[in-house]
Amino acid sequence: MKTLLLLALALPGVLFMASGLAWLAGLKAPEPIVSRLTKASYLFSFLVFSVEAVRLLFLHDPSLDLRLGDWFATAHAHFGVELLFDRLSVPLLWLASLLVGIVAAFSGRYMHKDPGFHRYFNLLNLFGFGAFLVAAAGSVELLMAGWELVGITSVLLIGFFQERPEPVGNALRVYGYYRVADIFLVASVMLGHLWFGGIEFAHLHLPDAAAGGSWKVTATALLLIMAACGKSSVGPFFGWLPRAMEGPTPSSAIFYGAVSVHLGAFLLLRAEPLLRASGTAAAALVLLGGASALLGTLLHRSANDAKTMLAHATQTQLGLIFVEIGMGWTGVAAFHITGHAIVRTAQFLRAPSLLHEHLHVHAAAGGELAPTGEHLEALVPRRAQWWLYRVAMGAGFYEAVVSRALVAPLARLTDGLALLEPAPAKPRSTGPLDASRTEETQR
Amino acid sequence: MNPQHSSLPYPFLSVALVALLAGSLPVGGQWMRRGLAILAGLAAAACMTAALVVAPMGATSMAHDPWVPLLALQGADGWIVLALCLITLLLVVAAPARDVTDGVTQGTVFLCGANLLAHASTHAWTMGIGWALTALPFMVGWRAMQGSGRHWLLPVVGSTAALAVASAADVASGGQPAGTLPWLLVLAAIVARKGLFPLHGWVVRMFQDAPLAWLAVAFNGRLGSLLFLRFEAGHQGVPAWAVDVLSWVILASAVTCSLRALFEKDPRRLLGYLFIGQSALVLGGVIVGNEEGFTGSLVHWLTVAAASSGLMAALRAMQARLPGLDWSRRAPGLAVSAPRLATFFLVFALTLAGLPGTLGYCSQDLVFSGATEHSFAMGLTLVVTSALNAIAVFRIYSHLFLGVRPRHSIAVPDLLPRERWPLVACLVFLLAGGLFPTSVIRWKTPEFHPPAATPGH
Repeated sequence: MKTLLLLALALPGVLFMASGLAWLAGLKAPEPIVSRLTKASYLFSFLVFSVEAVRLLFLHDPSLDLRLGDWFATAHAHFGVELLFDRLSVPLLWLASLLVGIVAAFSGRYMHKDPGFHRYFNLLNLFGFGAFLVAAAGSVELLMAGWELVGITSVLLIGFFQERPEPVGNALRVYGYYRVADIFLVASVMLGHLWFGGIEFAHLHLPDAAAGGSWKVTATALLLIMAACGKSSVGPFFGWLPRAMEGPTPSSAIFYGAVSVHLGAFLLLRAEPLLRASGTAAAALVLLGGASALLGTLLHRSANDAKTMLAHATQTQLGLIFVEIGMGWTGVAAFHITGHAIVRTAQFLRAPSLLHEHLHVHAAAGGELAPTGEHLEALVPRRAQWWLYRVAMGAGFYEAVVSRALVAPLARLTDGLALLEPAPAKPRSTGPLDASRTEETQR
Repeated sequence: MNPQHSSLPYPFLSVALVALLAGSLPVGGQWMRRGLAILAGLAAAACMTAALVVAPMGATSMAHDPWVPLLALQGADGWIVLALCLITLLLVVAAPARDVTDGVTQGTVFLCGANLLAHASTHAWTMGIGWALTALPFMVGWRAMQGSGRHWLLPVVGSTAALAVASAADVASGGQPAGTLPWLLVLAAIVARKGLFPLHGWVVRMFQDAPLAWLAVAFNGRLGSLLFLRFEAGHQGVPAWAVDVLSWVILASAVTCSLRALFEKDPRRLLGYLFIGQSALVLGGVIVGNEEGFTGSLVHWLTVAAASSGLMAALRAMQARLPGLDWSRRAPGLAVSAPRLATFFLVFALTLAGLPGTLGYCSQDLVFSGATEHSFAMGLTLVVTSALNAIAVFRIYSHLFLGVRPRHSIAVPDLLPRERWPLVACLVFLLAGGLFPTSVIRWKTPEFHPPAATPGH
C-alpha cells in the first residue's frame, strides 16, 4: 500500500516533468494522449486514496507516517521527507484527486484546440502534485514546497491568456500577495525550528506555557494564520481572489472553488494544536474569519458578473470555515471544506452556461422567477443599505488602502534609494558591441 | 591548520589554463572562433574533472600542478572552476553569432581562465593577478560598451588596489591574526568586487552595458568569498567586528537591491540587482559561521552560477532577436512566438528566487536556516528580500513575455537547437539537483569548515 500511495502522490509530478522536459526539447504529445494520461493518472490516485480513506475512516486503522529519509542534510540539520496519511490528509487527498480529475476531464473538451492546451495540462499536473504534497506533508518544510508550487501554478493560470493585458496584470498582483503571504509561512518555519526544533505535524512538541513558552506559540500561530489568510484570500489578503478569475474557467474551479483556496484552512487544521494552545491566535482567527465573511457576503450581493460573484461567495464560506477552526470545531470545518469544494467546483464549471440555464429555468417556471435574498436586505435600514452598497462597490476600499498605504510609500523609498546610484544609461537596445548593427534582425 | 601538500600526476591545471588562454585568441572566422572557444572550454572542463578525480580532496589538502607549482587544487575551488568551465561552454555554444565575431566569446573564455588562475593560486599575489585579469576584457572592450562611460572602473580598480594592499599585509603578517587595517581593506575589496552596498549602483550600470556573458563568468567567479575564506584561513579566524560589518553590508545590499528591483523596468538592470542580491546571499551564508549557512552558500553559489548563466543566455538570445527595441518602455509580448525562451527565462529566474523542485529551494533553505541560527533578524530579512526578488522577476517576465505583441512587430523565432540544448542541460541540472539535493551537497565534503569568528581581536 505504501508503494501505491507514493505512486499516486508522485504521478502528477512525473507527468509534469516528463511532458515539460519533452516539450522544452522540442517534442509534443497529441492532445488526446495528454488528456487521457492526465485523467488516468488522477483516476489511479483517486482509487488509491479511496482505499486508504476506507482503511482509515471506516476500518479505524492507525495513521501512516512514512519517513522517506532526508531530502537534504548537513552535519547538524536534517530536512526530512516525511509523509503523513491520517484522517485529515487522506480526505483532502481524496477530494483533490477527485476534483482535479473531474476538471481534467472537463478541460479535455473545454481547452480542445486552444493554443495553450499543453501548457494548461502541464500546469494542472504541477498543481495536482503541489496540492497532494501539501495534503500529505508531514513537516511544514515539505508543505511549504507544495504550497509554493500551488502558488506559482495558480498565478501562471491566471495569466493563461497571455496576450491580454488584464490577466497578465492580475497575475502579477496575485503573485505579489502570494509571496508576501509566503513570508509569514517561512517565518513561522524558521521560528518553529528555532523554538520547537521544527514543526512536524505528527509529533509537535510545544514549549511549556508555564515556562514562558506561550508567547512563542502565539507568535508562531499568528504567522501561520497570516500565511493561511494569504492562500485563502481572507483577512488582510482579501483583495486578490476576484482578480484571479481571469484564468480559464476550469482552472478557476479547481483553484478558487475547490482545492487551492482551501489549503489555507487545511494548514490551520494541521496546526490546530498551536491554535488550541493560544487563545489570542484563536480569537484573531475568529475575528479575521468573521470580518471576511461579512465583507464577502456584502460584495457578492453587489457583484455584477458570475465569476466575481462566485469568488466573493467563496470568500464568505472561507471566512466561516476560519471561524469554525478558531472556535475549535475542526470536524465541522473539515466537512464544510469538503462540501463547499464540491458545490463550488460545480458552480464554477457551470458558470459559462449560466445564462443558457437561467433561460431554461425561467421558461420552466412559466416566465416568472422570484428574486432571492431580499428577505435579508429588508432587515437593513434603507440608509445603511446605500452606505453598504457604496462600500461594496469600492470592494471595501481594499485596493485603495493597499496602493496608498503600502505600494506608494514603497515606491517613494525605492526612488530615494536611487540617489545612491549613478544615473542609468539612456535606454537603448541590444547590448554590447553591436550598436552599428541595429538593422540586423537575426544572428 | 597546515595544508597537506601533494602533487597532481599530470599538469591538469596548467593545461587547462593554457587551453583557455588559447581559446580566447581572436583568430579566424566565426566558425573557427566558436570552435576554438568550445574546444578550449571542453579541454579545460576535462582537465578539471580529471584533476578532481585523481586529487585527494579536502579543505586542508593542496594538490600542486607539477609544471607550475604556484597552481594547486584546494578545497572546493576545483569544483567551482569546473562549474565555471561548464558555464563558459554553455555561454559560448548559445552565444549569438555577432558575439562570436565581435570578440565577446573570446573575452568569456579569457575570463574563465583568469578565474581559474585566481582560484588555483597558492599565493595571494598570483590570486591578485588572476583577480585583476578578470577586469581586462572590460578594460579592452569599454569603448564598445556604448553609453556606459567608465562606471565599471571604480569597483575594478578599487578592488584590485585593496587586494594589493591586503596581499602586502598578508606577506608581512606571516600567518598571524591580521590587524584592523588589512581586514578593512579586505572588506573594501569584497564590497567593491561584488558590488555590495553602497557600490551596488556601479555594478548595476555595468549590467546595463557590458556583455552579459562576461558578467556571467566574471561575477560568478565568487572571488569575494574566495578572498574572505583565504584571508580567514591565513590569519586564524575572522574578527567579530568584521563579521558584523559584513553582515550589515550584506543586509543593506539585499534590501536595497530587492527594493530597487521591484520597480525596475530595464531587464538588464534588474538582472544586476538580482545578481547582487544573490551575491549577498552567498556571502551571507559564508560569514554566518555555521554548517548550514556554509553548505547553503556553496550550493547556492552553484545554483546562482547555473541559473544566472542560463538567464543571461536566454536574455541575450532575446536581445539578438529584437535589436533596436527599448526594453524598458515597450513590452514585446514574446511568449506567443517564443514560448520555450519564455519558459527557460521564467524557470531560471524563479530558481534564483527559490522555486521548489529546483536546487534554489534547497540552497536558500539552508542559507536561511544558517542565517537564522546566526541572527533571526538576518534570516528574516533574507527571506523578505527573496520574496521581493521573486515578485520582481515575475514582473519582468510579465513585461517581456506576456501582454499584447506590438503591431507590425516581427514574429521572432523560438530557441534554436544550438541554444536550446545547453539550456536544457542547465535546467536538468537544476531540477535534478532540486529533487536529489544530497548528491549535490555531497561535493562539499565534511572537511570544509565554515570560517571561525575570533572575537578576541
